[in-house]
Amino acid sequence: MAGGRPRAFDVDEVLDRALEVFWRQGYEGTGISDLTRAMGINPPSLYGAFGNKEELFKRVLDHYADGPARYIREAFAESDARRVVERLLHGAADATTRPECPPGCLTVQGGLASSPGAEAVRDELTARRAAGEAALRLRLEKARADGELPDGADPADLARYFITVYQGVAVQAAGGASREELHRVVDLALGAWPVAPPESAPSAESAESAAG
Amino acid sequence: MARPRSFDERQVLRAAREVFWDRGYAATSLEDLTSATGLGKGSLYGAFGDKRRLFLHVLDDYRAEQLASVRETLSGPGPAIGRLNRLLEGAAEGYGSDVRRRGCFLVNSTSELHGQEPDVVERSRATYREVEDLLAGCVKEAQREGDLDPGADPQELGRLLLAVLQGMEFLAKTRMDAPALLQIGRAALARLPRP
Repeated sequence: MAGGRPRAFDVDEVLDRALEVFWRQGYEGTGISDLTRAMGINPPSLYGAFGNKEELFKRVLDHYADGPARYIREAFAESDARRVVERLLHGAADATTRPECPPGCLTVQGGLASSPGAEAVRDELTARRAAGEAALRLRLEKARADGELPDGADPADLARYFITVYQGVAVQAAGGASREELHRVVDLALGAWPVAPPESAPSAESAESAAG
Repeated sequence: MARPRSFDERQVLRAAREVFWDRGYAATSLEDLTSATGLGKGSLYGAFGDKRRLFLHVLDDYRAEQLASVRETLSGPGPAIGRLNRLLEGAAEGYGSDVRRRGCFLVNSTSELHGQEPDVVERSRATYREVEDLLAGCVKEAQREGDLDPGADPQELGRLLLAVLQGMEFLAKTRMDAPALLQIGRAALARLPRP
């Protein structure tokens, strides 16, 4: 990844350490001195390699997507749409309760800064959240076109619902919920997966129309 | 402890809450707190200890207020399913209409301090547990009234609804609009197992 540029440190390794600090302390609770100490580099090297704290955080978000949150990409590679959602949600229950990592999710726990100075970080997280939701909606639209979801299913509505539960799982993990509890929540949420009404009794009373 | 105070403790806690809510714990300075509360450092810390202790007081005051509001909504008149709906709609409207999108103070505090402050995590856990119990109680009523599947575990459904509320809060902070949030609340309820 470092492309052969000579550096006195291993980029992946220092990003691992920065990730750990942001995850544990949040974006705002993390100072440059916390980062340099954890990363084992001095401020000029940090600024030289990563720009500023905000730029570093964005790099850490990418690093997170390649590491602890890799299950998201893997989930989307599933050929069956229901498996995509299952792997996303169950993957979140596992990833947010790893004993060797801080509880919760970097994006939710580490990134949601509230002060006006952190607007740019919130913009970044908003864009990533919206992109994730759009990707799931497109996947569910394809599932409906392929007949994997019934015609009455609303992909946008379903995508929003599953994303909501997904984020809620991360918040619950940080609040101390156990891995088993979260998997049960996910199983219940997956119970909302729309099934086609039996052919002999076509009915408008599917889970979709009941939402109105 | 019995020292007479020349200020209204509740008012001070509310003023301090606004600052902590706006800025988060770490970024709030003593100066922010004294200017918001109108108290000097001596009075402020004399009454509440230090910044950390004051923060915990503020958090407790907020938790009590939130729990009372959830309890009131869920124990109101009418069918239980309607009360659950009111709670979800109220949350969606509350998050969606907050122009500053500050979210929930307890969630923010937990997010910021979960890795460093066991006392905050403990408070957050206790509060969520209580909200979950209130939701589960209302789910149980809805099951008895024939609106939800009596075969489902009410505690687990309560936890799912709590996850939905917490997820909505994150989506609001990442600028999902109010109509979409409302739709999520409705869909969440419609997707619960029916008899």
